[in-house]
Amino acid sequence: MTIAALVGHFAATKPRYVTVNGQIVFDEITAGNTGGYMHPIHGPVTPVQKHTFHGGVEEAVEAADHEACWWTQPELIQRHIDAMAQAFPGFTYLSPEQDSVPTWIGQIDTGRGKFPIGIALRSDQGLPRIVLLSKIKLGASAGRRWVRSPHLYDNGNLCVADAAEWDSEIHTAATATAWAAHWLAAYTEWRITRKWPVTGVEAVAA
Amino acid sequence: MTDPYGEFRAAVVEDFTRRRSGESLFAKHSDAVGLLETRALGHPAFDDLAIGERRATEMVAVFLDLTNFTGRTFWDDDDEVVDLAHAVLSGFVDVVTRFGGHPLGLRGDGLFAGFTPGDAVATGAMALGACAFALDAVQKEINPWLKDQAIAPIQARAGLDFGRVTFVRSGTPGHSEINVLGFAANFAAKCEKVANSWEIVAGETLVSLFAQQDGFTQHKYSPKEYDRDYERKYYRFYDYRWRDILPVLPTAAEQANGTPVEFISIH
Repeated sequence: MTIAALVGHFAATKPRYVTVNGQIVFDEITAGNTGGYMHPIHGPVTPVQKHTFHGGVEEAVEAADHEACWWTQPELIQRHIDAMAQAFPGFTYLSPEQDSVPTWIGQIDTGRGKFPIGIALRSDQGLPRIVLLSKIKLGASAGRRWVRSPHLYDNGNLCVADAAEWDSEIHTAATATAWAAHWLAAYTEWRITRKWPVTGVEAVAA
Repeated sequence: MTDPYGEFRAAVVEDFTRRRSGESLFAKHSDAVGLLETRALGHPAFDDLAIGERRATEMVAVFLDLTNFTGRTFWDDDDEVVDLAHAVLSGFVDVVTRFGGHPLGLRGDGLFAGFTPGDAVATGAMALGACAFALDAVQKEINPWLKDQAIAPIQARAGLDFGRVTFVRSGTPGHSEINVLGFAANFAAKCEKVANSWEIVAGETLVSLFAQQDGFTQHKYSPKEYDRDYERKYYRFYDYRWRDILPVLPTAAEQANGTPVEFISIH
């Protein structure tokens, strides 16, 4: 580690990783022989892929025939299941039924608060929906006023990335979960400072 | 690989021990050492200013200070206090220089330093790195040694901000000094004053240089309010979570190795 590593703490170019519990970490990451990454305290970690926090209206999903949907092909859904089992083993997989989509539920422990979330895949293979499974409202009081958290969709779901940043060929539910962990880490910082600390992730571990 | 922490400890401990043993009396009369010791602190780019002449630059202004040191002058032997302050401040000068900054002057029991860009983000990072390293080195290296010597431990803190400052030489032809004026320098001093022991406080212009601001939390007394002619403006300042960067500091210090930050570029 060098001056570049020090500067990386302050620039948006430093790769970020997420632990199996959902905590974002930066330093002391080593690449293993099998292509994975390890943190000396937290154990296996997953690189957070490039993304930018957004907001606005979440893209609607057209009604689809679930019996003919892409996830009925085992090889297509299995890579999501495998990636989630490796990166976030504490999450539970809920297989799709007639009126539901493949979904994972679990808890992200940011180190400054725990958040139950759900990650729901979409029939159009677009950016998964990230839903907070809690009655708490994401925001903060400012005197008598309630300030909604930045980077939420109008429907209250977490806007973890631009829809165009999602590549259904490469990314998996684990990618979206890592983005959600990054979003929640930034949110806990915003709750303290009222300043969203980061635009996203610009660099990924090679 | 060198050990910057060990070097910091050795520099402070050796200097203090040498002075306590009276060797400094010899050093004071040695021409060779005397020549080295008369080098004034300052910024080399502004040494040539004539009286009344001024030049402005952007700079990260840094105040590194020994906290509650005044109280020691009440309780402790004067010579011991002076020797300890001298040794630690000399250590701070060394750290600032090692991280590519310019020690600009001693202010009582503190050091005023400047890091001039170069790459503004790298400059800010190195300035914060120098402060974090200095605080950590005092905690890890100096205080355990002081404890062994039955001397009360010392505490340190730092304040920084970034902005435009002006170097001006003031005085008469026989007696002049270069002064550094500007909001960044004033506010860095304010940040240092509001910092508790083992805290680094940074002004909003410095923090705004960084795309990643996770390590900064708005200070409980922030913002500072400025009023004039019925206009009110606010300026924020932040606590910096400096222990986050400790793992990268020894190698960053080693790589910089005293190269001024204005000559460091990050690709």
